[in-house]
Amino acid sequence: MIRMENVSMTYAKDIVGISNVSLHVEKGDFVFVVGKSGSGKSTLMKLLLKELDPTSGKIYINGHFLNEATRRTLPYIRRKIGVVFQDFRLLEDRSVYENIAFAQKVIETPSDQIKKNVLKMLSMVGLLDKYKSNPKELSGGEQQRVAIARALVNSPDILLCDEPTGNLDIVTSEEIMKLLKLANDQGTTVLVVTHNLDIVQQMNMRTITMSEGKIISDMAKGGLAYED
Amino acid sequence: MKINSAGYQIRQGFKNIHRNKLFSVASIATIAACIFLFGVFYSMVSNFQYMMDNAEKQIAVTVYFDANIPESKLDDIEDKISARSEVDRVEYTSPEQAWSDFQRQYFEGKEYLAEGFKDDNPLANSGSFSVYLNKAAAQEGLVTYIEGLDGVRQVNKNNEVAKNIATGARLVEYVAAAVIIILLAVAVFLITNTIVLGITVRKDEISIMKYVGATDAFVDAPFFVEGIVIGLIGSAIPLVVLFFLYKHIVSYILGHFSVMKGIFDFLPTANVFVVLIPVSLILGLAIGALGSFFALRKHSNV
Ligand SMILES: Nc1ncnc2c1ncn2[C@@H]1O[C@H](COP(=O)(O)OP(=O)(O)O)[C@@H](O)[C@H]1O
Ligand SMILES: [Mg+2]
Repeated sequence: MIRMENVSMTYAKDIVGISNVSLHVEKGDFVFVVGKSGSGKSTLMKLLLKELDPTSGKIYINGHFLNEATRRTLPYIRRKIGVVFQDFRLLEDRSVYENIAFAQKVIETPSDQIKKNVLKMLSMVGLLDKYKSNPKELSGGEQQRVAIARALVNSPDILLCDEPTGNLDIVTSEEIMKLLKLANDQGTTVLVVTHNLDIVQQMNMRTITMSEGKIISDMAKGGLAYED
Repeated sequence: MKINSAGYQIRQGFKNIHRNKLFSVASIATIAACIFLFGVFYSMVSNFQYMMDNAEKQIAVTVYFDANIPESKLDDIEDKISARSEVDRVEYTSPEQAWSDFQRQYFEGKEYLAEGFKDDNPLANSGSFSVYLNKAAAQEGLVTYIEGLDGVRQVNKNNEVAKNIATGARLVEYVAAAVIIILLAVAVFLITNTIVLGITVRKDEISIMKYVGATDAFVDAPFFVEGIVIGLIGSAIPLVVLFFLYKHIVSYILGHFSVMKGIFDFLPTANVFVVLIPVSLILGLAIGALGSFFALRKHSNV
């Protein structure tokens, strides 16, 4: 599903994003990525979205060789990758419903299917009664649920989350993580960058630790060293 | 691009225009000014050319002959001149005709002055051909040719008029072209900035679109709609204004300066606008599309 081979990425001279990272994530995996601020977690996520290109190494995602994706082919690869950010990134000039429907409209999903899919997602994240609300009227946790619904509405194979609970309190964070686990249970491969070590411990899933751009440990579900 | 999203794109395009009202209006106004001036120049130049074509037909070269030239020789010269492609027609003025024209012109009311000449025509050697051209520019060559003919004494040309008309027309065309090119550049610049502003306003939206996998064409389309609509509105407005102005100005001139009637013959409104309407609309569309293209090439990489 995701394979990185000796991937390095440097921003400018001497500014290392990540350094010689090799990683293999299987279909259906749920993986936490942890590490101090500046350790290269966001860089890793951006490389998987081809927002950044590696300085060296190879990246395969969902059967595509990402290094060679072009402006023409990249959109179709991204349609199978959902993204969730710390700051939600909802559009405040439209309702909750429209925020989710937007993700389908812009990839030209037929309108009869859009309605069906959006309602399904709203019910999954538990916000059916707020479909008309403006994102500004929602709590942080609710906004992040909308963002997750938007990320999942196109039925991606992979869900990438960069600190999805970074702006949320503990209780809300646990709820969001449960939602991500639910998506994973339904077959989506999930990668979650987080600072929240309590939740990581509690959920007991595969956990990758980064430091100074390198992977320094990779623990499988159950706390054992992961064997690739 | 699917058909049901074409509607979406067009709506988004109009939304962009609405959101950037101030800039959109400024762009429309610039394009309108540009197309208006283009229309004014075009009307002037095309009428000028039309009048010139008419005037050229009035220009004649006068050919005088050797004294006592035989009739057969005259016919021969006439045939040779008529055969030239730049010659519209040749008119013969006999010495008798020239004398009576002269008397009518100079001795009017004092016919007694002519009495002294009796039957002795003082202009016996002033028979002439008036050669009318269909192209003023061809005059020089024709004169040289006629001067070389046997039996021709003198050729009076109409050089000044021909030259003035030709250079006058050329000058108007150059000035018009320069002004229009400058205005076109300003219009493209303004529309580019309007669309850049639209892209900036929609930065978050575009970024989400790219994350979820919208194609470049899908992201760009509303901005092309925006540019093209601004361009078309900007060219349609001056066309309407020009249409009414043209009709009224021509009829005003013809109504108030009746002297003009013989000299100036204006092109009918339909003849001017059958060219002006499509050219202006295409110009507006091109300005808009070009502005969108420049704006997107610079600013839509997310
Ligand atoms: N746009 C950028 N330009 C230059 N350096 C950057 C940029 N983004 C990140 N970095 C640097 O790359 C390293 C990794 O950053 P990042 O991947 O954001 O870490 P994390 O998400 O783990 O906090 C840091 O040293 C950071 O300062
Ligand atoms: Mg980060």
